[in-house]
Order: sequence, then C-alpha cells, then structure tokens
Amino acid sequence: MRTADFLMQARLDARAVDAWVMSGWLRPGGDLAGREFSDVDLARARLITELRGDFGLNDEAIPVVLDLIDQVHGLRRLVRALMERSRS
Amino acid sequence: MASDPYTVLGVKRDAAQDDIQKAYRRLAKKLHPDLNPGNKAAEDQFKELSAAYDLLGDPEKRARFDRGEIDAAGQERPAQGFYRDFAAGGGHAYSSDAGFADFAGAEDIIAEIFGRQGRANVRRRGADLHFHLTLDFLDAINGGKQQLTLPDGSSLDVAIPPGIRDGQVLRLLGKGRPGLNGGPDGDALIEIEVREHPLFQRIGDDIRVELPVPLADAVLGGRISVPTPDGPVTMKVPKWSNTGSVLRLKGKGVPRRDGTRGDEYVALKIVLPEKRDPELERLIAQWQSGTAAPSHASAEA
Repeated sequence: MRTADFLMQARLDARAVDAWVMSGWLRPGGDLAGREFSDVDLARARLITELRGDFGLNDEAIPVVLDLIDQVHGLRRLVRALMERSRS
Repeated sequence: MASDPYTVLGVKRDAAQDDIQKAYRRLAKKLHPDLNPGNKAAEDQFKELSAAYDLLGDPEKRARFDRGEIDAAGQERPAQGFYRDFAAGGGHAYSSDAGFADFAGAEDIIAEIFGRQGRANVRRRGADLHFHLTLDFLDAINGGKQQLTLPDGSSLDVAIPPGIRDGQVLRLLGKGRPGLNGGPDGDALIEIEVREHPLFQRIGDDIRVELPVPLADAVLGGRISVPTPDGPVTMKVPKWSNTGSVLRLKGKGVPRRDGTRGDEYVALKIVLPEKRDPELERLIAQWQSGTAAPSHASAEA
C-alpha cells in the first residue's frame, strides 16, 4: 500500500512514520519518491504504537524490544525447521 | 468470552480510572501476543483483556456498562493482525538470524531454512564449509599439494603454500556449498594444524635445530652434516666451539611469500664418543694434571 493508505490504517501521522523509517524501526519497500508498505509494516507499526502507548516504553527501548522480538521469531523459525527436519 | 471486565482486569468496581490503566498495562506487558509468540492462551487472554480495557478504559463506556446499557461482549475490538502473525513466516524486511548466526556448523541448515522460506527469489551466497587439515612439519615448510577427504567421500586438492603456519586458515574460493538462485558459491575454509618435528623447531620464519658435535670437531674444528628442511648440508664448525654456541645457516629457514627465506640456527651440543676410549681418558688425565706433552697438541693440530 502507498503511504496515504498506510497512514490511515495505522492511524499515524506522516511525521511519526518518517521518524520511524529513519530510525529503522520500519523498513518499507519502494524509495523516497514513493514508499510501499506491506501488511508486515502495518502490523509492526501497530506494535510500535502499542509499545509506546499502552506499554509506556520510551523511544530508546523500542529498537531493543523490536530487535529481540525479531530474534525470537528467527529462532522460532529455526526451531520449527529443525523439528520438521528431524521428523522427516 | 464475555467475562466480567472488572474480573479480567483484576480491579474493584469502584477502582479509579488511573488504576484501571495501570492494571491494564501490567497485564498487557505479560500477555501481549508479540511478547509471547508461542503461547496461544496468552493471545486469548490478551484479547479478553483488550476488550475489557476498551470498555473500562473509556470513562463514558464504563459508565454505560455500569448502568447495564451495554454488555461486556458488545465492544470487542475488530480482529487486528498481530505482528507475530506476519513475523512468524520470515522472508520480510525484519527477518533476523542474529539469534543464532554464530552457531558453528549451522550455516548450511540456516542457508537451507532461509533459502526455502521466503527468500526463495533472493540471490544468496552458498554457505562456507569448514575443514581441518593436519600437516607434517616438513610439508608445512616446503608446501605442496595435499588431498583432503570430505565427509561425503569426495576429495579436494589443496595447494599448500610453502611456509604455512599452524592455525592459519586457507580459503578455497567457490569450494563451499553452491549458491542459491545464481548467487556465488561459498568457500571452503581449511584450518591448518602443523605437527611437531623431532629435530626442528620453528620460531617465526627461522628454524632452530640442536646438533650433536663430536668432541674432536668441537675442539679442533671440522665439517659436519646438518639437517635442514631441504635436506642435509655440510657446515663448518670453527675450532673450539662450545656447547650452546649457535651457528647460522643463512637462507635455510622457512620460505616467505616474497621469495626470501628465514635462517636456520644450529645450536651445538658437544657429545663424547659412545664407547669408552681409554686413550682419550689418559690424554685428558694428562691434560688435567698439566703433564700433557706439548708434542701431542702440536701433532693433532
């Protein structure tokens, strides 16, 4: 989806999204002329919103938490693949 | 599903709005699905918690609920996609292998997993393969070809550069796992171990060897044969050489990359003849008592 759709669905303003992309919290496709957001980006933006709002995390903690969550998913994927492999 | 929202949040019916928010935050931190990617129960509890907070977190809705105008299930949030629903699959911009990238020997498994899932269209370099090769001391000094037998039974010719050191790693470009989707092949990394030698000792680019010298050669000087990594050479031992004297054979050490070589250092060790020699004993006895005839010394010189 294009930036306008993304902002609407994520209920974010353009400045916040710009800042998040600059910090690497969000990594949409496309280029500066036209970013292309996917469903993953949308879900991640919602997660960031929740972490900052409901969870009261400050902006310094956000990248740490995101990175750890991504690592957990990487590890879970590895474990799942290893389990499939040992089963076959 | 429609549990009492006060019970879900664990607060009393007259709790202050602040306390409701605090209770929600405390539970949300524990139950959020993205912090519990493998826990299905946590997801259900979190949904319930979200619904309860939707109701009680908003003073207006809370008042309507308290008055019985809306029920607990009435305001459930529309299902939203959690990040984990997308992150679990991999193959997106946030995929991370940082949690296990250092597992030794896991490269091929990881390459397979990340190659199979999601990144199927990405050119990916093949994984490196790691091997260990033990060389004899002289093979390491002089270099040459060695054959490495791989776990799958095939073999790999390895050109050993002269002068290779213990612990050095040789990289054979393109001899690792094949790349995916046209990506470059990985490399074979071969860690070299060099066995010790009974005579030679390597110190940097120099060789040190201890050489037994017969008593006569040590006292009178002479030419003796010295082992070097290239084979034996003849070396002149000067007159009156003591145990511990070190002689240098220039250019008989370890080959360097620039074509020059280190030196060989020969440490002399005087040895007596193996068999007892009564005449030698007599001469020494005379020499010690200072009665050795001068004619002896001049005759032998």
